[in-house]
Amino acid sequence: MTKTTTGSSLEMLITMENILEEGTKTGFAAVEAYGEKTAIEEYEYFTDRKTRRHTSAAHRLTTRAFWDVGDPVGFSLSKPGPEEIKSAFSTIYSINLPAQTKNYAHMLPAAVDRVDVNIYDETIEKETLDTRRIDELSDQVDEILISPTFKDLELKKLHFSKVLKKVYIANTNNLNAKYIKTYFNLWLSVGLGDNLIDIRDSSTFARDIEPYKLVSRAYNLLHSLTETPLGPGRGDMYLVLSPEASAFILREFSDYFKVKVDRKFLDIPFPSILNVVDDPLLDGRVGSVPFDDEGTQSGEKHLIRKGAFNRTITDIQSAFREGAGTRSTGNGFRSERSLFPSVRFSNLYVKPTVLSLKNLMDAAGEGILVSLLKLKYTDKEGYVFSAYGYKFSGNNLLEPVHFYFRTTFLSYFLNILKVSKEVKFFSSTYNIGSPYIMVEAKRKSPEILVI
Amino acid sequence: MDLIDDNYGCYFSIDSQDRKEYTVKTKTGILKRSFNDQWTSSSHELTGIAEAGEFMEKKINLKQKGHKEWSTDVPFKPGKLVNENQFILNSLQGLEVMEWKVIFRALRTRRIIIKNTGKERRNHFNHFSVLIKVRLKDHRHFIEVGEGNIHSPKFNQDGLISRVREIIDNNKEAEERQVEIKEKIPVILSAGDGGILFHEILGHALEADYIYLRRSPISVNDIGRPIMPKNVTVVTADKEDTFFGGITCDDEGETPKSPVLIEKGVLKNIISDSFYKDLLNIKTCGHSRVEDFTSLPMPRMYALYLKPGNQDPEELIASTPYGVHAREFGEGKIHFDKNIFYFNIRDARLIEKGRRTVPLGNIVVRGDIFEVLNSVEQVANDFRYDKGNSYCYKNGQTVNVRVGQPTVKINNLYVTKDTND
Repeated sequence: MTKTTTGSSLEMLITMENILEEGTKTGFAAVEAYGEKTAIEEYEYFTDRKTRRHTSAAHRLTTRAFWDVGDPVGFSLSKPGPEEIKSAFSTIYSINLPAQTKNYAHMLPAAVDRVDVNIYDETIEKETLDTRRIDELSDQVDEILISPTFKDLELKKLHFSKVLKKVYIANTNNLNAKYIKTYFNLWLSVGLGDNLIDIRDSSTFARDIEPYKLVSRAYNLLHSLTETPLGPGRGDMYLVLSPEASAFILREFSDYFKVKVDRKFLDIPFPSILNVVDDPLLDGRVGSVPFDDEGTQSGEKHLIRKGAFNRTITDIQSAFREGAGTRSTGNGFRSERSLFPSVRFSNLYVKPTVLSLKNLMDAAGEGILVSLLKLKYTDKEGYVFSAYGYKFSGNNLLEPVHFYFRTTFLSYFLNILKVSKEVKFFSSTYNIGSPYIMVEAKRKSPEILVI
Repeated sequence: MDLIDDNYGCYFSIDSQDRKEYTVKTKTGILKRSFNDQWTSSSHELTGIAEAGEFMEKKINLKQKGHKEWSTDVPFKPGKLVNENQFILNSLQGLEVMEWKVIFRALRTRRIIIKNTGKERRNHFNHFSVLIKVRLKDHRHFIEVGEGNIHSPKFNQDGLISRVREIIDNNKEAEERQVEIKEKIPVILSAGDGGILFHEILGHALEADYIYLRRSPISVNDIGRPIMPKNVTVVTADKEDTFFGGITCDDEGETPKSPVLIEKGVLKNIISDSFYKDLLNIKTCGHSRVEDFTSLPMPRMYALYLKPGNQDPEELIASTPYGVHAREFGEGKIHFDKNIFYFNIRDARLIEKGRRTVPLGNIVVRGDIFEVLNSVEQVANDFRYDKGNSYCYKNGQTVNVRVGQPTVKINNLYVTKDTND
């Protein structure tokens, strides 16, 4: 359920109201106020039992003010009193900047509907990260690492954080909305021999953070980190990309799904099993929100539907600049550094099918299960990735290998043969997910494959 | 230990379609840290300038000491700024580019560090910068050129406009001529901004958190051992440079015992804060930084200078049969786990038979960290500071940094053309 805020939010609501009133009084035609209260508890645990705990509570009040014409101006104050708000409006009004061009104030939403999206874990307000609880978590990880399967792994650092975020949005078109969300992160730095890997799990709910699965992932990734090349050979071969690897590629190519559609993509038939979606209403996902940071609501958006390029994502400003009646897709988000929203995904992912990983490996017969990717470089011919994985034959994983492959946005999506059902999400600036994906690659030289 | 932190920033942009954005940003609060079996820290905000001022007065008798550090003065007024820098906008309007954007920034940071002993240290840092972004026809990415200083929003102190023109001309010519480059060749880094490469591959490799986590190829056991050629000396302080002149200590109130990191190729010190100093059981700290009071401190660089050598910079070019002269620098990435890095060069020329010849436009240089650290072949005598607009991003926190170096020749860098689309 989306949780509405009470009690302590009163102070913020009064401030938001004050911003709208003061902005109008100053002489602006339209004003938008965005408020954010973030409480974070972080805990770090190091190999030799040294620990560090940090708590922070921060406010952010961001204002976008419009004259009748011209682009907006704005300010961001961390915890302002009425005098600071008045002074900030006076400052931004006095600069008299507007060009005589139409602006997009009329596109600011006037209301939001109530939607049910499960992004709040109520346990967050009952418990603090006391040492005992973190010791339990680190003991749990230690215990997993002691088991015969993982005994070669070494935990260098454990970082656990819990975040409570309250978001408020109001504007002079009468919009007044708020929501509250939680997320938890467990971040492990795990070593094996000379290799070290950072691995993270993020979730709306504390109960969904599973140390065992995280350690297993670290184990698989670390064991695939080899310098053994593919060996001699040419011809076509199958790659099965893990969710981690295929989400990495999706992130690299995600700019193609932003703002202006490249017209050439509209006529290209991608494989019909391919559906790429951005959806802010997935229960329990870190990228989920009932509305974006401009108050625009949306649901599941197919960017590629059954192999056909369908649409891109926008915020209000980019929709206005696109013209031709384009409306925001509800993808205007404010990063911590920027005052005004910019176009960003919520939960971007490749939709799963009914096939299992085993089905994909059976269909391939033999190939490489790619567990980890790194971007090596880009050049005029596309992206070159450094790939680590395991050769496989049937359902048997064989020796780990390291190789490179070159691809582009078009050729990657055109060469997808099968998509599995086991979707996994990875969170950084936004949440991105993918199932296992099987692609056909051509081996044009012993060193590098081409998709 | 308390860190009292007041940040005030202004941002104003204008683009080729006359779109303007002006923003002001404030962030004021306290970071409290203590050690009692474990390190505990908490941050909280102060309500507006008024509360911050009141707090400061009570806490350290600010008024009595005559400090006016919590004033609400705006660092610049956009109207005045545009008038004073109209020549920048005029010069851009005459260029054959698809679009351009000019971003002016002003930042004012005031910090007071109160140690457990009651001893108090204070830092201030003002920074003014301009960034010009231009996009050429048929290019997806913007070319960025900027400069900054600590005194006032007055720009073009260092040939900004001619740099923009030159980069555009060189990019266009490079596109027409389409010169192929051999891959692993010597690269000569211009004096000044070229130091950002050493910030990335050497400075970060010497940071104690990366060393502790074994991300860096360097370990504490390397202290006292040669890790670079004998012609390289690298330090973190320079009395003649006023850029961080207002910073008297790090964000824990400490100063490093010695500014020398590398002396004649031998590793002397690493970059640490007090937390990692304990973890690594070393004696050095004084490099703790936070972006603001809400963040966790970590080992960071302020400045990194590569000391000048004896050679004339032209000798470095003349002694290179085939290579690249890198003149304008973009952003870089480092992958410690694979011991590799890559770096964008925004403007470069080919060197053939000891002479600078055709422009190459955007290129990417990459290499193996250890191999490159050991491939600094020649160091010239023309030391310069960067153009005052260097930033460093680490674990979600961005801070201003400073670099300086003379012209330097590095062998064995992989060079590839950067994609424009």
